[in-house]
Formats: sequence, C-alpha cells, structure tokens
Amino acid sequence: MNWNDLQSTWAGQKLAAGPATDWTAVQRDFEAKQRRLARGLFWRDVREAAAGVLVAGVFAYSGWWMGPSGWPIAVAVLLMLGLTGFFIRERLRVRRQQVDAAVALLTKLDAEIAELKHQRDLLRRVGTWYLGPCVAAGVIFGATTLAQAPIPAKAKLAAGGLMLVVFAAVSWVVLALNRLAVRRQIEPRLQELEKLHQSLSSP
Amino acid sequence: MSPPAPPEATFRAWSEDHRGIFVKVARAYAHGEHEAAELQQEMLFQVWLSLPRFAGQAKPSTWIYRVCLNTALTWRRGAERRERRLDREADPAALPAVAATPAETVGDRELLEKLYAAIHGLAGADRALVLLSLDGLAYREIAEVTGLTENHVGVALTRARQRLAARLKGVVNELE
Repeated sequence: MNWNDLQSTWAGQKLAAGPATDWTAVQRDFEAKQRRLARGLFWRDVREAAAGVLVAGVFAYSGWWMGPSGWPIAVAVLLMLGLTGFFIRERLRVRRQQVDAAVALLTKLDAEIAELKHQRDLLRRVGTWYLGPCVAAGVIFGATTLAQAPIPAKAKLAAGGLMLVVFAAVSWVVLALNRLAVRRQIEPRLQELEKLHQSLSSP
Repeated sequence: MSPPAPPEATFRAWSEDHRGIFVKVARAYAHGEHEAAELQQEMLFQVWLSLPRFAGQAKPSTWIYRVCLNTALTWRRGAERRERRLDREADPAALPAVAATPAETVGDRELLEKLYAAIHGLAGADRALVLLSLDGLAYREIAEVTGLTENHVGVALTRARQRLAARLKGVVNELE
C-alpha cells in the first residue's frame, strides 16, 4: 500500500449522517456567545481602568481636602492616571494586533509567539511599570497624609515605617506571583509554540 | 448577476458542504468523542466569527482549513494539561471512527482507525500537513494554509509521511 492507496481510503471514509442541525438555534447560540465575549472584554477593560481612576479620585479628593500643603498628592494622582493610561494603551494594542483565525498557520503562530513574549516581558518588568508607580504613589500619599496628621513625630515615623514594610511585602508577593506565572504558564506555552513553529518552518 | 449570499446562508452552506473538514480535524486533534464535539463547535464558532472578513481570495475549503487548524492548534494549547492526563488514560485508536457506512469495508474501517491513531501520534505541525495531504490538497494550497513555500511544503511533507509510515509499520509498506 502506498500514499495514493491511503489517500483513496481516506477519501472513501463516509461521514455518518448526524442529527439534523437546527441552524437557527446554532446561529442564536453563536450570537449570544459573541455578545457574551464582547461584554466580558468590555467590563474587564472598564474594571482595569476604573480601579486606577477610582484610586486617583480618592487621592485627588484627599489632596484637595488638605489644601495647598497637600500638593505632592497631585504627583500621586498623575502616577495612577498614568498607570490607567498604560492599561488602556495595552488593551488597544492587543486589539490592534489580534490576527484573524483565517490567517496562515505560520502567521498565527508568529502572532501568538510575539504576544506571549510581550506578556512575558510585561510580567518580568512588572516592578517598573506597575509596582514602581503604585508604590511611589502610595508612599507620596502616605507621607503627605502623615505629615498633616496631628500626631507626635515618633508616631509618624512608626506609621511611615509600617507603611514601607507593608508596601515592600505586597511588592514582594506581586513580584513572586508574576515570576511564578512566567515560569509555570508563559514559558512552557512559549516553548511549545516555538517548537511547533520550528517543526513547521525548518526544512 | 445574483447578489452575494448573506453570511448566515454562506455559513450554513459551508458548514454542511465542508463538514468533513470539521470532523476530520476534530478527530485528529481531540481526545475522545466529547472533546472532538467541543472542538468542532469551537471551529464552527471561529468560522462564524471570521466569515464576515472572508474576501474570496482563497477557496472556501482552504479558508476553512486555515480556521480549523488554527483553532485546533490553539485549542489544544489551552487543554494541554487535561490532554496529558488523557494521553495516559486514553487510547486514541479506541476513538469511534467516523461511523461506517455500507460503502466501507471492514478492512477500510480498520485501516482508517489505525491511520487516525497514527496521525494522533504525530506532532501538531506534521498532523496538519498529513491531514491536508490526505485530503488531496495540492502543494500550492497546503502552502496557502500553512504559510510555507511550495518547496518547503514538499520537504516537510516527505518528512511527515516518513514519520507516519514509521507509525503505520506493518500496515503499509511505503508512503513515498
């Protein structure tokens, strides 16, 4: 038996007649699924953007309430708004670079690999683009608030120290979780896709 | 000249006319009937989503193959952990084949089941090439689906057939 024989056996396989498809129901299901997907993406984007805007709003209100001496809080507000802007830019980038399901396999693999590498880099540099601005904004807000607080200097120092310890601990946990995500999820999938790409493209 | 068919009508017609592509790709990439049905549904959904962007540059079958294989390769990635577990538990050869019809002989059925099991054992890229070739796509069409050059398709396909032949040892003698 050679390839041609195998091809003719393959071509001779008959598909069993399945139950009659109710195309109206299929169409309704797909439309509902499409709407659900779009709604899910929209609210995820809103949540990400709203969190930063909400924190910026709280900071701004506190700064306004403190009066002229609360001016450093404006920097914290700008940092949080900048972070929100970064999230929005990322979402727009993902939508712009999304490739259609009908592109050639290599194109799809290239796009998936590029996106995964981008995600890996973002997670690895989370300290720079996420934790840095968040911690800086938190420290500015905390220090400005403590400076205004009617408590003894020693208590201010103790509260400030405690705040730094909390920020450091939270940052460490976030960094560790991100490294874990890179190691356990992104890297294995990236290696797998690169292997697939290589097996398809290497002569 | 008749007006173009609405996407819904095209979707229905293509889903029925090219049902074989959905069934074969699902069977080649999924483990078990349940997963194959899930994958088929996902491929149909991706065709549904992408259809409004179909501009007629490719034959419908080539275009559907692209969507289905892209979906199957990506879908598998998401189900990798579950698959590793199933790999240990399930025998792909035990999958019920595309149901037999009176036109098929018992020998054909057995050969098809062995063939599907052998395809299952290939790497994702080889699996795609073998499927396309078994369905009789020309090198140019395989190149369109994969994004490779025609020369490259020839080389890669020879390699994939050799691997398939190794898995079908004793069933077929040569696959050149």
